Amino acid sequence: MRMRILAPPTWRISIDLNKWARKLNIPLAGPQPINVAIIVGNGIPDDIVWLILGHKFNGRHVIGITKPQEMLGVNSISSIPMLVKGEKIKDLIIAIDQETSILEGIWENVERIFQERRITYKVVEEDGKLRIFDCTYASYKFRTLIVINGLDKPYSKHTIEDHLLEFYREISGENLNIILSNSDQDPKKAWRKLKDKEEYVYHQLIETSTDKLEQIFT
Amino acid sequence: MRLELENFKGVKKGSINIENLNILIGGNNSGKTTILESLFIAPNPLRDVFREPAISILKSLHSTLESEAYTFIFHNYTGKLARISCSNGFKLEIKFQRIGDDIEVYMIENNDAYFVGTLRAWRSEERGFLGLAQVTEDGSLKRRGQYIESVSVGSFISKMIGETIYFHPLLVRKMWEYFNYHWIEFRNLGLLSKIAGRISEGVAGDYDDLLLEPFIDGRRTILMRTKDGRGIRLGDMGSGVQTLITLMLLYEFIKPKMLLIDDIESHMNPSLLIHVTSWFGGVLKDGAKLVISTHSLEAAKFIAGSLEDYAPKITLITLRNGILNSKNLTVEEVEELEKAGIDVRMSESILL
Repeated sequence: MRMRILAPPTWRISIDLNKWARKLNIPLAGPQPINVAIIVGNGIPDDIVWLILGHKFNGRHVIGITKPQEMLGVNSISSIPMLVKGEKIKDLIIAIDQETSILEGIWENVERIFQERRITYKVVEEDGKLRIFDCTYASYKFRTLIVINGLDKPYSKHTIEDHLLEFYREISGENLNIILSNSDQDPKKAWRKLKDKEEYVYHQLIETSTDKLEQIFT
Repeated sequence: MRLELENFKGVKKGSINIENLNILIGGNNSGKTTILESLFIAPNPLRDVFREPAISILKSLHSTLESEAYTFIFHNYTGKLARISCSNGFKLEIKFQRIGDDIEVYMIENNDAYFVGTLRAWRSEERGFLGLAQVTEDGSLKRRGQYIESVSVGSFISKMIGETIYFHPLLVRKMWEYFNYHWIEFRNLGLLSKIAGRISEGVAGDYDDLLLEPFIDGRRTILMRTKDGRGIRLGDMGSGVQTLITLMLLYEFIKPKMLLIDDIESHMNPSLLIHVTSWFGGVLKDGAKLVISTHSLEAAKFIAGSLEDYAPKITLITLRNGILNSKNLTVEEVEELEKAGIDVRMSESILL
């Protein structure tokens, strides 16, 4: 998959994706038609992880990527109607951080927002932190895959950084206990402390097999 | 008004609704300029604009190295018939029919068919008095050999559309030449000091007049006169100011029914854009229509938002495989999409 940025070029997500696409030598897509879009509910570094995953899986397919303004996490679902109204998007992927919520609470929130936005839905597949819904908004039919980031590890909250920290722990052999304890077990804070390792980790992800990537991010 | 294009330039087929104010946005090569150019030649491709036929002005914009052929009119350079059609209850059609190396130009206004002239594919054009034409059984047009001797093609303008003026940055020097010939009229209509004063409101500098005077080499030039009596050559001023002065002089002198502007925001600082937008308000108040292209969403939202009384439309354009598609959006719709993380300029393939 190659990413086509849908957000305004001055937004952080667009700048960030462009920067990392250049650094990681991953081509971004031009104005090709798309029928799949990813909404990253929590912005950075979810966008970079999706850039890498997209590059590793099915490199030719073009997918739109964006992050709604002022609609963080599970609330990013509210932007669905605007994306599907043009009748072109048939599949949506929404990635959100678990944070400190319990999974059941998040799924309840997802369904509440679907109802508030008048999106009718039916769960067609569920597997812990992943659910696939068949949805209808007005006359538009589409499929929505929602994936919740975070691992069942003793972090104070659960985000995409859980996966990145565990991957770094594995490839470097470094014990992250001190960094984590200095970060109140917060994976975002801990990941920020590893800023000088960020590029190395992303390069290592690119080198990793797709089977292994599936393990890391599920 | 509905504008339909067929086999004209990059557009194989497509249409767009023209309102009081359309702000065209879309990717590169999406057909924005083609729309502006078609509206520019629609009143009569062979009428005089800036002392030469309108279609010849487009030819000069499209010439590349030495090539100046008129075949740019036809889709893929190979079509035999290109058509521009405008309808708003009344109907106007412009047809370019290719016959060998010649291109015959016809206009049909309501039920009256006219032969306008011939373009030699390689460069020149032939025109005289407006001729009568008839539609043949196969739908093509044919001259009837009769001419309306009181109407020269150079001065004939479709009543339905009226005069349209196309502003493109590459035409500025051609426009200055035109000003040179009409300077006394500008002076005696009081346009020069009026426009110098208006420019002073929008840029740093205090100007009170525009002059056509000899420069250091003894040749004529256009000068902006400052209130303390100094002269500054128009070509030495910033590009945005040159654009605005040229645009204002043209509009105030010609008073077209439609003003067509390509890449309005290029060279313009936001403060100048504010100034030009306020001037657009006057143009719309005069009853003229405005069709503007831009790559700046900031400019599109600002212009549309400031002139909301005129029901502006931000028109998203795409061109895929020669098919032109368009969608009119309000400022509110553009902002709603933006909140959802969708920049209309980047997302035309999911919106159209």
